[in-house]
Amino acid sequence: MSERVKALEVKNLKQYFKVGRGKSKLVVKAVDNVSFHIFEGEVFGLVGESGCGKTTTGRTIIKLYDATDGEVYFKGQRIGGGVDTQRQAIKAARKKAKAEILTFQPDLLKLNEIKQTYKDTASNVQAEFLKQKEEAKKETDPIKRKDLLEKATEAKKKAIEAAQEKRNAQTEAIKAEIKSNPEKYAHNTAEIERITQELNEYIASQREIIKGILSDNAFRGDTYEIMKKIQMIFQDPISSLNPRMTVREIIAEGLRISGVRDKDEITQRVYEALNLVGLVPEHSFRYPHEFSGGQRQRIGIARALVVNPELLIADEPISALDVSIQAQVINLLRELKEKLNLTILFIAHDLSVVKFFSDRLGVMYFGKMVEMGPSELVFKNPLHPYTRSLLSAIPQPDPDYERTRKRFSYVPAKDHKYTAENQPSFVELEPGHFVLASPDEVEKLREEIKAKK
Amino acid sequence: MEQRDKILEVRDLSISFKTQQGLLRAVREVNFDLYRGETLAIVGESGSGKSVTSRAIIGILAGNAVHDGGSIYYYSKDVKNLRKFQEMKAQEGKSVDDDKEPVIDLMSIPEDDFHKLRGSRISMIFQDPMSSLNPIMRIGKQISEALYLKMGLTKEEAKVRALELMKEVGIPDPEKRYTNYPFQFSGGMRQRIVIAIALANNAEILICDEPTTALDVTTQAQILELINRIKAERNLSVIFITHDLGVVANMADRVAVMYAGKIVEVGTSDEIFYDPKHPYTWALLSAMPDLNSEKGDQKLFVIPGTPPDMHFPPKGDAFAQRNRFALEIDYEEQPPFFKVSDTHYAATWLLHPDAEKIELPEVILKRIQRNRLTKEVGAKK
Repeated sequence: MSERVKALEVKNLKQYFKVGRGKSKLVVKAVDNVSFHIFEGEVFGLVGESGCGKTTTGRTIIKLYDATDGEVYFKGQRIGGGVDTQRQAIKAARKKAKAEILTFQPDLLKLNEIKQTYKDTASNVQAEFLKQKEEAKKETDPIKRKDLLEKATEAKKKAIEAAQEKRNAQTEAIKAEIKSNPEKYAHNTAEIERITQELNEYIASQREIIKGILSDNAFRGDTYEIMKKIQMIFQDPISSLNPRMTVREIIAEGLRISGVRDKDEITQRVYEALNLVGLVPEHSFRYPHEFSGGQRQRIGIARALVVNPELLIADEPISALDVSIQAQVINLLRELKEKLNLTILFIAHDLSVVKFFSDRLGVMYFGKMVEMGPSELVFKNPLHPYTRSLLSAIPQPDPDYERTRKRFSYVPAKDHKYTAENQPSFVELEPGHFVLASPDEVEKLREEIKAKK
Repeated sequence: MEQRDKILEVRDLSISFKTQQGLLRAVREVNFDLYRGETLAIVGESGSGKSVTSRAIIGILAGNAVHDGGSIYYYSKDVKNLRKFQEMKAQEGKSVDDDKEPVIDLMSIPEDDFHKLRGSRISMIFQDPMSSLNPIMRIGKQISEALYLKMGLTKEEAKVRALELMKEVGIPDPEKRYTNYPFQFSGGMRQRIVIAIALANNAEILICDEPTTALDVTTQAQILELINRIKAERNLSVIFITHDLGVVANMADRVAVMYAGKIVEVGTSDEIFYDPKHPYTWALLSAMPDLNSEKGDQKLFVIPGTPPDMHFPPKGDAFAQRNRFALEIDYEEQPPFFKVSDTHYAATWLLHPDAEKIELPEVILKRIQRNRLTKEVGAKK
């Protein structure tokens, strides 16, 4: 097993989106610390409900989004990543250094203390004011309410003024003291310089790392060459094909962009790609609307295959298709995988298909990978409560089974008892079978596995 | 089996569409019954005419539709209120109230009569909950609108009733959500609202046109449970259209399989899943992997070819071209319905006494056996 080559490796990938403005500003953690790898020639399934980040993961890998943090390796070479860790580290170092420097500047330290005391008092006053305002709002009589509000405002004004006066007086006193006693308040320049120096060195080293990642991120040089080996198939075969381009133009676009100029070569390779997916060269001058859903998905696959990729990211390629056509597309993908030795990242929410198609799979829930392992093992012995609830929700073509099927829902607050000491981590419980669980749960699951054996 | 109460009877229904290429024969002589309190699932590929059939029942066919023949009989006391029914009885010289079992052909009544039935007796849920709700109208209004327009409630009464309905379909905090817009709801919640609107006027027939195709597995499960619960509580008759056989197994009492505008097999869900007779049903069942199927190196079964162009319906059995068990006569003549049991009929020449006996495809046999095994194991536990 250990000899297998990792085609794709994703380490601690994070993808955050900032949404909203002002008060409603939020950071959405679409993908939060996800790590997995795909061996060469393997199909890796990624499942979860919509909004769990599986599509985002695929898109971040192929760099449709700029990753927030983490690294992505393809065939051992870093092809992308985020620099959030480094940026945060620089920020933290700056803050720490600033605090340290302050201890060698006694005059500023004193002044800061006064400022801080004033700030504390002011925020206390504000809190008190808000409390009174709330109480005033409960008053039903409008005249009394107005009175109460005015009283509160007045009190706040007075308190702030008093605090300001106190602050000004203290500041004056300290300033005078510093003037009269300059030696006592002198800066320790040597120490300050040393700290600044250390900080600068640290920042420079982090910047170097950032530069490295960003240069790998850019579509230039080696990265560009290797990125061509990763291609994507999309869910909706209607909206992912330009309705104003002929099939030939659609398929040739990738070739042209990757630098093939020779017309004959383009034609030949387009025909080859069409043949591969079970269409004929005559189709190449038609427009997408002339094809059925299954055929359109084949065009999408041909477009991905024309540049000879090694890794295919298939983002729900069959969800929008009819049952009988789903089977066609899955068979095609399977055939192509054998023929071209493709590695496939298969993103889907239909677990039956994922089980049929993929060698290993990962289950995602709200941006986190909760379980990962060989398909057989995960389906036979699901460990995470979310995987279990997902499996129990799938209807099967078997009336007897359906009559007795019991669905259980996953409620994180109820199913887990996480505390500060009892935090979940990604643990390997069986060979190759990982689950996100806290130490308590791990023990329980270990016993369960033993009992089953 | 005791005689059950029929509510709908579809007889020889044929519907075509005028298109630039000529007449498209979407539904061809379809026959089926719907009983009170049962769920009938209609399965088939897209384009097999299952949606057109259901749209004919609720009377919302597109403008270019042509009614070629056949009837949809609706058994209900409510039809007494219809003008057409009263005229009919007057012609016969009978009083409306004499009729013990009032019945009317839905294909023959005028639009203003249909208006009295649509929504209040026959209701429909559509596939995409985003496009079936009005995006610029608060959902509270969308639900109560149905109530004060059709039931004659005042707006205040309608609001109270709408809140009850929202609670019934499982929307938490109905008072708060009442003034929300559709975009503020998730897909599953939106579908719940659509169901609430469909049920607002106490309809007795509910048509569900692929209500869960656009939803996740977990949300799908919740919506299915909701429909099942409401069906039991209100004794609804449900026509459930889908192409997901797993969902069919979960929901249906009886199943009708449609292909190229015709029903090819109909039976109880046990009969369809454990003893399918029509090759198209076999093909559908074997094209779908399930959780128990091994991660095999074998390929999934694929139905070869494409459905026929319904501008030119084929002469014999429409499925013959794609059927590996096709007999010569399949290309010549359309097979009649052969009776398998009282409830189970299939239109295939393979059931003719002279035809060679053909075993079920291996995939299905294996699945049935496997399911039996797991069941026995489960029973022992």
